[in-house]
Amino acid sequence: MDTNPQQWVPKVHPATRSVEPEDPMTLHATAVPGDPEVMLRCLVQEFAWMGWDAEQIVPLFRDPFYPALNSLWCVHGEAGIRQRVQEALRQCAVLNVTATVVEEPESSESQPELIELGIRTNPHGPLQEGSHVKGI
Amino acid sequence: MSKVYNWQLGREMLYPYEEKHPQWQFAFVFNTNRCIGCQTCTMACKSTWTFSRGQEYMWWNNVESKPYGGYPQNWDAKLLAMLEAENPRAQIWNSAKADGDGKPYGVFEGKTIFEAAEKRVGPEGFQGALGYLPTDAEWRHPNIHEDTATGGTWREGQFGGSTQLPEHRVWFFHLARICNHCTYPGCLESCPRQAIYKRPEDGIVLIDQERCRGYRKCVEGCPYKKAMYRGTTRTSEKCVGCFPRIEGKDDTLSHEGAPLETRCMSACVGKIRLQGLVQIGTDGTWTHDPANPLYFLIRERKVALPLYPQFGTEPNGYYIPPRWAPRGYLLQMFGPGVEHAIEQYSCPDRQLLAVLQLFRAQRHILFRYEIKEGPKIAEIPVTLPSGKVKVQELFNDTVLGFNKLGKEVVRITIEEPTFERSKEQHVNSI
Repeated sequence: MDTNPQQWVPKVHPATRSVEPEDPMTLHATAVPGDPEVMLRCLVQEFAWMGWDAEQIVPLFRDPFYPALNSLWCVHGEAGIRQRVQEALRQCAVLNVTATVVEEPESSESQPELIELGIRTNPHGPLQEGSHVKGI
Repeated sequence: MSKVYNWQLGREMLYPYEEKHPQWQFAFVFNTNRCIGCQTCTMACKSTWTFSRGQEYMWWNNVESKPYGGYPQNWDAKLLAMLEAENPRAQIWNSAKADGDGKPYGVFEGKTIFEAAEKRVGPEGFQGALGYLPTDAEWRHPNIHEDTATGGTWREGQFGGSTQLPEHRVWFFHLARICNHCTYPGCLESCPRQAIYKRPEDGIVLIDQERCRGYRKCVEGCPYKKAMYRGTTRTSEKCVGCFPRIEGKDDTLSHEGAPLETRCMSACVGKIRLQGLVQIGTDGTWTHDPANPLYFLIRERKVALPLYPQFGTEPNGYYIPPRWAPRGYLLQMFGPGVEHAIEQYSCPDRQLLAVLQLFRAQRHILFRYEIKEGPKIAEIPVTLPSGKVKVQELFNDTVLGFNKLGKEVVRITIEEPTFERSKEQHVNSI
């Protein structure tokens, strides 16, 4: 067995290897032409059609849970997004144009019966006064 | 091989079995403009049907981020490339031949997966449907590049850090997918044991677990890659269309036996989904029923389009295309109806706007809708994608949905009232 280190193949960590375009196992991606401004406008319209205004829509862009919106926020920044959202809203309708505020009925007669829920620490003992089991 | 009529292609095509149709067909419409990719549908399906050993990699319902996402990876690009190789530069649509219900999108003059496979002869004989068997690695990530962990900061020229690709930032959309319960299923065609069947009552495609021997021909033959192999039982499995719900046998949700939407549909928080049953004649034509919301969206208004109709299986899943994606890409994905569908959706008229409110409004399957007309509330100039400006008239109409028993199960007004809870402690406050 050849133990001469000069004969060994040098160890190269996969992460430090350079990209070889002809390597079939390497990830490649080709940009498909498209306009992110159109995507932004359409998405803002979709929320506007559900009755959302700028103050409700802009926070969604900050949230990574919404990947399309958040990636646009990363590119344009807060001010850029706010300006674009307002621009898009000017050009489309917010469907729920009127908000009808209906107060909950306060009549004591129609109040449903309160049910207290709780977990007893001692299944055989009484419920503790002042603990969370006091309820809702 | 028999000749069967595929209305989505506008022509007859070759299929190994003779043409037969169910009385009702399971169908659905997904609005890609509304999908936020939250995967709630995916988890609803997973926790109902595929939570057992051997099903770990199975996602009967998945949501992939297009153009790069795919489960299995690159399933569509791979098959499109195979079709192109079999029939170079001839996979084309002739939309000038569009004519009524029989040819709504024109005529597809290329080859379907069944026709393209004719010359493919392997050791086991002729291949019935052009297809391939995805590798284990391709099944591994339900939505690689987006819903996978990012290992570190992505650096240009270095592979191994993150799976994030910068090109995603240009544009993308979420494509929710389940089995399309095709009229001419590729999986059914490919099964050497004839273990796959289409139910005459609702068109749901099922794999008979007793007959299946796990040859995986269905996995190879399904162009949408919705048949999956389970190593622990050595059989293939696929979406069952939540058939107990479709049959109205979920007593806890409907005591009267009304058909209910599937788990994935019922769970959709983005309200992108509408699922139901459409009536089919013996010759395969859809019974004229514009009061059925699915018929209205798919056949009457043509606002929802089949996914890759050129594959030739006549899928029964339909999509409202995303308005911002490049048209060439959408044309390949949904066929020549794209422009018309997007124009319709961008400026919906009174009736269409009302029907669009029915998405995820009720878990009962809606067989019929009615519109009660309300006053005009606004006129809005809308710039269509074509550049034309159209004035959209907005009416405060009310749409009513009825289940199979004819019972009203939903009522929605365009201008919905807003209810505000008082700040004082509420009965249900925690």
